Amino acid sequence: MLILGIDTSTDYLALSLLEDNLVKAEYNLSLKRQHSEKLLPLMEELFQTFAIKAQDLDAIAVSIGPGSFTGLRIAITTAKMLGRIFDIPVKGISTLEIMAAGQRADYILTMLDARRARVYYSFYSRKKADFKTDLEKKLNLKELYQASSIKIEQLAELLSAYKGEEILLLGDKTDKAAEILKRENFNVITADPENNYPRSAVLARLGRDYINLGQEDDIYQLKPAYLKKPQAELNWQQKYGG
Amino acid sequence: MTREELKFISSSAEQSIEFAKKIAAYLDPPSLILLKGELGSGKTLMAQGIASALGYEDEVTSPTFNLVQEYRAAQEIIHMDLYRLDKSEELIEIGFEDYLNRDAVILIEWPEIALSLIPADFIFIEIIKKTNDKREIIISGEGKKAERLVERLFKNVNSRD
Amino acid sequence: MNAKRNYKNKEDDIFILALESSCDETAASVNKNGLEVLANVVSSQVELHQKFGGVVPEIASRKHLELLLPVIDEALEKAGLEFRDLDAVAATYGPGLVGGLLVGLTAAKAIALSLEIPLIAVNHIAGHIYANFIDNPQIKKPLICLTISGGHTDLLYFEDLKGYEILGRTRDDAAGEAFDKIARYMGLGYPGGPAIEKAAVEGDPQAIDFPRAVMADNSFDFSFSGLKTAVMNYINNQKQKGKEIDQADLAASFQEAVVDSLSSKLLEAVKKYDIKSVVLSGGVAANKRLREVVEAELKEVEIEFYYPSLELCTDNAAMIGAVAYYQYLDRDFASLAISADPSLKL
Repeated sequence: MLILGIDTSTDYLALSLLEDNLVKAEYNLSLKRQHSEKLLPLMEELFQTFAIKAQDLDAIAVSIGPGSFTGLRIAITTAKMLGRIFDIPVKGISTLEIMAAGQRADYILTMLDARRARVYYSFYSRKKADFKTDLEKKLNLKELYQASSIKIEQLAELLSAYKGEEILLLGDKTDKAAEILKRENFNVITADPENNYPRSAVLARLGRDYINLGQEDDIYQLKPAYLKKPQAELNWQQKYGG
Repeated sequence: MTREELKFISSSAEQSIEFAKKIAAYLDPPSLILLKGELGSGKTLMAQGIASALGYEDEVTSPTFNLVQEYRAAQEIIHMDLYRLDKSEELIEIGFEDYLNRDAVILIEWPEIALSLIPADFIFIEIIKKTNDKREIIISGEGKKAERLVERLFKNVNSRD
Repeated sequence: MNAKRNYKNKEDDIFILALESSCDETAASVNKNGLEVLANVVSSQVELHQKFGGVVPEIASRKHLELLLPVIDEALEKAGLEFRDLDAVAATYGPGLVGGLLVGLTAAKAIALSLEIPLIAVNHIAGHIYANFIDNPQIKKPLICLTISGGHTDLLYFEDLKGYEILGRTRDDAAGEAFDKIARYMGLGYPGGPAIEKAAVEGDPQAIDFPRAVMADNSFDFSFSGLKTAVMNYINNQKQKGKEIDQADLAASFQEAVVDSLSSKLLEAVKKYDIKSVVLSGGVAANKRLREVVEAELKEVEIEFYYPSLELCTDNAAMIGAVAYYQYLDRDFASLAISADPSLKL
């Protein structure tokens, strides 16, 4: 099974090729806002290097964010077209999950910068005892808190039930988050830079696993993860008038 | 907590534009600027002044109908007008949060409906129409960066007068 | 660095899939040899945006992403073709809203790479011009085209359909923009073209003598900012004097000044160049007074006159496919690295 992973959800343009258990190629290029110009040429180069054709692909894994909507639509549009033309399965995967699935730790908090002291986050367990469904058991991953956004300052409150556990922080703003959580006596660790972003090889592997479990997406419905309205935390209305 | 407020009286459109340019000079993007004021108070004029000081040479009009306009200058500028929105849920539809995450100078006219979704760190400009030409412009900053900007602007305005 | 793309010669039939997503219509078409339209599918999002009175960029982009596949499927089905039958894929790459443009352009790139066929990037304004030739393939050449819309005022010369020469363009506001601004100033609403036209019906076009721009260098360029200022000054002066303004006379006089500026330049160009026909394109081409004046003037000099049908006046992909065919013949293909250009000019 030959799987192409495509991710344009963050500053990284990420592209990978996975053949069964073999990572044949993995690009993770930190290219701010150039995804539209670079993605298709990079795919063409990848195909040429391995002397394969687009029609040789068996499946596509694509990141659905959170991230810049304009950026996300580049990879998703590409995945949809490949899926349609070659009639192959496509699976959309959360960027936060890609990060968590790439690391081993019992509890993992993945974050993406949402600016102005906020982060998009998701909280995962990789502890066997926590897994309930077949999917969780097979993927070795359970999402404890669904993706949302929060003020960094409020992370301690969010994770209060896990104060006794070791928590791995991944993604953006980990230093700031570690500082806040340590102040509240949390047991947190951070990752080295090469493990601290959504790796495209992990995306392709997750895609393979989901698709093998029959979890492919309908390409006609596939869209970015447009996050729901976050909690209003501050009542500016009172202060600035409405 | 008391808020630093800077009050400025403008007696003409030209003065308002000049004042907007001063604000622009202190911006350190990404920046979020909220413009409050009744119809015809000159919110778009302030947006024009800021955009032009940031190097955008074309015309700036109020995006009343498309809600969002993007201007490409040396610095990316996003200009919103939320007058036509009824519910804050509609902000999700127009990609409001996504715009807030951009590395840009973001100008928002009629920001009231979005206040509950706006995080810390913004510059709040309220324009009060005194007479046909005269305006009182009140500036305050929310968050350290914005407060510092208001302080510096305060010093600049006072030292020149 | 592009992989070899297989392309055919002119003698063969050439099938092009074209995509258009620059504003609020998601459209796909299949054209055979340029002007023969096998399928022209347009899925309008107008209702979604009506609530706001304008096109909201993010809402439009989301809708394009959702509608593009179904629209492509329908176009291929109507044309009775499969992806593998296509000789090239085309998409609008500007001008327009960048988020929407990127959906169509990225899809076209993915199709080009997948099928190993050429990618053709088309200018939306050129599309509107070529829409004329779909309706009237018999238009005699050489010809002059006047493109007038909210964003453009261009006078173009076509020897054949493979390219064009720009004779003149606006130095400031586009004609449609002038209509919009004055309509807003007069409180007539948006879009300004139809609003002014309606208000002008009962008015006297000679009531107020507004200036017509004269270019010092005798070029075919246009200018509307002087006229715009004159109208605004007129309104302000009347108000200051406490005089009532006759909206109908004002609208008619303004419209006459615009029509006069456009038609006189057009006629000068017609006289200078040895052409057989004149075509109009763009939203302002719908103005009846303009059509009337141009038609009468061209009749005198025995030049054929065309303007597009309403369905091809609005955004569609068939017009993009028509342009793409001539680019195909010229081997004017785009690289997969091409980006959308929201402010693309002709």
